[in-house]
Amino acid sequence: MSIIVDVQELTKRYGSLLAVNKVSFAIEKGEIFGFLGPNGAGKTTCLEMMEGLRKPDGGKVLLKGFSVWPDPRKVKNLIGVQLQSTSFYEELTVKEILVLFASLYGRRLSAQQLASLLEMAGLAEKRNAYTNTLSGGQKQRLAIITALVNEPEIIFLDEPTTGLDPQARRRSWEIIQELQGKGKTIILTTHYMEEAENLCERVAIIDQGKIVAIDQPQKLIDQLGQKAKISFASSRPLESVFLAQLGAEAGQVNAGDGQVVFASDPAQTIGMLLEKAKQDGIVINNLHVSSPSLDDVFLGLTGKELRD
Amino acid sequence: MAFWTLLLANTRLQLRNRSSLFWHFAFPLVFMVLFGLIFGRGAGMLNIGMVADNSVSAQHFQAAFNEIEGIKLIQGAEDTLLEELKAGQIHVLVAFGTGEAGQPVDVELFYDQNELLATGTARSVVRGVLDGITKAVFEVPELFRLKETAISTEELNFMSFLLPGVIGMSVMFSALFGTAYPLVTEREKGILRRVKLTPVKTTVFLGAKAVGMTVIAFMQAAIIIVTGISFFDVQILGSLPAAALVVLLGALMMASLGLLIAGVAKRVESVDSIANAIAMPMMFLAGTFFEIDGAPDWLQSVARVLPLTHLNSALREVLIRGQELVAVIPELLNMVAWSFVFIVAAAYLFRWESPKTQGSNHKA
Repeated sequence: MSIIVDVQELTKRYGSLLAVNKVSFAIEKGEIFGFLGPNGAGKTTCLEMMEGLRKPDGGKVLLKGFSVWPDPRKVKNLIGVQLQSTSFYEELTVKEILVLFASLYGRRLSAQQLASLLEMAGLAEKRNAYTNTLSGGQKQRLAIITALVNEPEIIFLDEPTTGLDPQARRRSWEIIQELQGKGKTIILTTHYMEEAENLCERVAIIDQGKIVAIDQPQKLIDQLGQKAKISFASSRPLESVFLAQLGAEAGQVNAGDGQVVFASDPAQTIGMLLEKAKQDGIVINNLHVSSPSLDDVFLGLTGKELRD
Repeated sequence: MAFWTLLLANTRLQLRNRSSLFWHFAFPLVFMVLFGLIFGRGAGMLNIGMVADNSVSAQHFQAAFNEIEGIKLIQGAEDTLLEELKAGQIHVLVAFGTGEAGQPVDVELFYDQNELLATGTARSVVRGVLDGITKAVFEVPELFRLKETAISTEELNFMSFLLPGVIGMSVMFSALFGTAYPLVTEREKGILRRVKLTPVKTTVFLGAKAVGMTVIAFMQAAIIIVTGISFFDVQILGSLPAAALVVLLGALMMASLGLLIAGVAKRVESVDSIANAIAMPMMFLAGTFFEIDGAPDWLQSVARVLPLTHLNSALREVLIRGQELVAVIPELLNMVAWSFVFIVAAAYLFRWESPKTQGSNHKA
């Protein structure tokens, strides 16, 4: 496999804020690569510097050996982009949108190309519908196939399934997998763990402008070791000193209203917890013990939950 | 290729949007109808002036008109009657010459060329009467030799004066809002960012927006002219291709100004205020509805250089006064110059992204 995307020490600052901080990674041809992170982590900024939309303050982006900066025009025909907030000309039809965007690349879509794009997105019946009559999922799929009109090798999808219901999300995943089957390289951002686990071969976990981990989803989960995840809610906040005592090996993080503790010996940890609660008259609710997921990897690495 | 697809898309967007359809096409017609109802002249009595004369011909002429209903024959001195003709009080003026024996009598007929409907009727009546006298009374093939002279009066028929102004005003509003509003909306919605990712040239993208407005402008002009002719007796004397060229340059000029407004306006809401602040005063100062002879000199000087003034005045000369294009070259050059200024400024100020997405927003 060959490296098709090479990002070196990519940096962007807004005033005093370092939005993207020396991010480096490489992607192989044909890979589905995911950026995982909460809102404001720097995913979109990173993607837009790779697409040529935002000028970096430092670092390099090489797409198929071509440097995106200082002149992004060289890569415009190489990449297809679905931007995060997708909107179209409302009074044009699905077909007219595709024909228009193809022409912006100096291309004329053949009837066959048009038909296969529409079929891929399940929009064949909607070809003559105005875009403002489409559902959220249909609009997102239209945005994806609009990114394909120039037959790009590298496809950037910024939150392709945000706001979609589970069924529409799976429909989009199918399209992305179909594109991978055609040899396309796909870079997407998401804040859905499920999406990263199911779709991406590798994910980069990004927080506060830095990549904190990058690997295959399962390997990231394995890094948590054999620890069990214990989550619960307490009627009063527990003293942090006590939480630290819960186990030398236990990592503790606040997760919203609840508490989460990772323990290598869950039985002992739970025992300690319940004993302490009894002593102090604290009520413990919603006690769960589970094996960790990518969500927990994220929580463990950043101390935050992925979704607000 | 991208240009034509964009042009088609822009035109479709304009024609598929109900509110832009209203402003482009219904609004100018509402103006025409209201002004027509307020100022339009109904077809009243025809007044024919005759230079007082004791000749046999004049007596026959006078006698013939006594039998015709709805026509009033006014006799008087030639100078007085010419003044009345210019003031619109009489429609045609007839003066009999002295015929030599055996020769036809010269008859001079003056009419107001800007009141073609009324004068046309009056002229036919005069011709008919003269023919009648010739055949019935004298039984010779040609008694009178009629020489008709058109008098261009200072005052145009109001609807004829108004029509080019309505075209100019409509082209201005449509081209300003029709470029600025969609462009700023597309920028706010992020459509421009998506377009920026494609290799299309900025000049092609913006050019298609401006040229798209000429398509709308032609449709507007056609609708307004047809309405004027059909319902308001407006007489179009000039050549339509010449008028089309004026409309084309005017639409490009206003569309360029619209692109400039899009560059200045940060948000969609500011398009309304900026465009209206420019268009409203210009509409009144540019002689759209009335000449501004009464205004102070300095204001008239300002009015004379306004973009819409050149468009209105060129349209009026060509369409209603029947001037050749050569006569309006100064106006055409002025419009080209304004377009150039607007395009350069618009290109300098054009942004693909709203200020809010450009820097401060680092959110994923």
